[in-house]
Amino acid sequence: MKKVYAVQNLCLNCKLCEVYCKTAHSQTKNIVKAYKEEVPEPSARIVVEGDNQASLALQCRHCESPACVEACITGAMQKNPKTGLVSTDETRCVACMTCLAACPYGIIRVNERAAMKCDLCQGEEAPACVQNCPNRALVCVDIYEEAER
Amino acid sequence: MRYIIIGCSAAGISAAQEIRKYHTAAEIVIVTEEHYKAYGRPLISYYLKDRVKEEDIYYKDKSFYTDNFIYLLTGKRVVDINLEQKYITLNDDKKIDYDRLLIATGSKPFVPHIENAEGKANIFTFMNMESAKQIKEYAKPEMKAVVIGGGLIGMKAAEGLKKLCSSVTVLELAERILPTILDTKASSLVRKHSENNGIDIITGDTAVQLNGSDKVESLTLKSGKTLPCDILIMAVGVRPNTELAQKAGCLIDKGIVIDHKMQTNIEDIYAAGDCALTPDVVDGKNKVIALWPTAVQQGKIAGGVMAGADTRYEGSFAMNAIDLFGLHMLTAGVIGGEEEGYEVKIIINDKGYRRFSIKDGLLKGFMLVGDIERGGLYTTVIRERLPLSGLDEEIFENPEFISFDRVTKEALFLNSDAIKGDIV
Repeated sequence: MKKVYAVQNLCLNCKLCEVYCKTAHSQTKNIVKAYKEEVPEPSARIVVEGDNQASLALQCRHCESPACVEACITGAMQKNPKTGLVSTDETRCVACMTCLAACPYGIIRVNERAAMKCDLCQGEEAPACVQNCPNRALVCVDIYEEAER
Repeated sequence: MRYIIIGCSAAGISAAQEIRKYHTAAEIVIVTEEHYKAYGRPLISYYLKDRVKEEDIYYKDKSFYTDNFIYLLTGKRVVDINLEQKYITLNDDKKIDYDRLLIATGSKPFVPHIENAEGKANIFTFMNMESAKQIKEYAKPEMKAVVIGGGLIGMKAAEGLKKLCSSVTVLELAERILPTILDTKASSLVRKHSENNGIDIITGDTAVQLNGSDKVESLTLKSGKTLPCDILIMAVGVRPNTELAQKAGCLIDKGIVIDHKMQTNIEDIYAAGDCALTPDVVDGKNKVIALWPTAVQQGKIAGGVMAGADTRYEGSFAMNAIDLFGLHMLTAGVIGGEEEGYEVKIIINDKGYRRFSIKDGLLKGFMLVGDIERGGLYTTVIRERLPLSGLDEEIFENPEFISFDRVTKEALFLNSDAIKGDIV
């Protein structure tokens, strides 16, 4: 499966990844509309942490043994055994946020409708955060391919 | 090899799933007293408030049981365990042999004795789908609902009931609501928020007598007050459901006593979930941690061990995520007051309230009310026992600083695939 890694010393703390993530997960896929018009407001599932001295963009690590899946009270949060993708079925999620409490990275985002998390931009060539990082501080690696090399 | 699991909820399902990972050919039988396949038990309050429909409460797809070759017996109670010949007896007198047995019977509502409570048609508990359905059917908009108990179950019941009844009163014996997970300040914030959403809350008082013949019409309180009531929910608390285990000869100390392998004192009998007594890794005390994620985690370890895996259970700690009328809260570990030797840090700002309890240079507990973003990072600090001396001083204001070493500013663990361990 694919995984996004952040390179700490390349991160400029510009937060463009957050902007493009939010846009990619909006209904209109339009930056201005995603920020100004859409109801409900879409959520960025990536967060840049730190300050100008040291920063790092972080999103779901799609853990081997995901604490969020164990914690989920509805069964909406699941790890796909084939692809390794951890995702939540937003129609079944009740946004109780137990997954956020359990996530070692605390990287699930609060939303009244459902818990929001990185889905690695399913169906796209590469995740929006990776495609739009101006300093290539985010890289997308296929970890199985990596292991084979 | 036949595995029998008694109880079909968080611990039972996660054990079955784990056993199947190791043993493709073993027989797995789950017996449950309930008439439902596994469902998200905490969802019953969401069902009450119409956030979740009855058909959407199920924890696993219908195909889960067939795909994993799990024989599920619903509506059957295990009445006896024969240790010599290793079989269980069901309430319909059927006997089933087992090689290894998991007791995952969960907890049952604790109903305190109140004068004149016998035989009333409008008293309900709030513990399973059956009770939630009964409440939903019985409750009418003009009714005055009373919930005895202002803990997690009571408050979630009250939130749901508010959708069904115009008047909802919570009666809590302690001086504050949610007394086991919130301190006085946090509790008063949640109380205010609940009151703003139409819940009446009485603390420091309890019912001593119920009035009415075949139905409760009012409650007489210890303070002498009378509280009118058309529907009464008993949500005082839960107790481990240990009857069967006790009858079989398992050691009981509040919950079923288990070792690091989740095994009881009887060979080939294991226990997991709300019915088991487990070590709290934060304060080292043995307790019953009756929470969904803990049950899943224990079930997983029990299932693995039963199937021959070499895993060990180190213990858990309490972790709660609650939302009441849109107000989010996260709590974990202990409340830990100054009188018990904890250093307490409190942060109040426009986003909400945070409290941290520190001892021996380690974070032992936190509560976040309002702003819970990134809250899981604090759980990591507790779980991984990260020394606070190595973390940035700003972490209490801003959890994201947990990611960086305070001196080198290197990302500590966030870029790893997963830091070691799961929720332990």
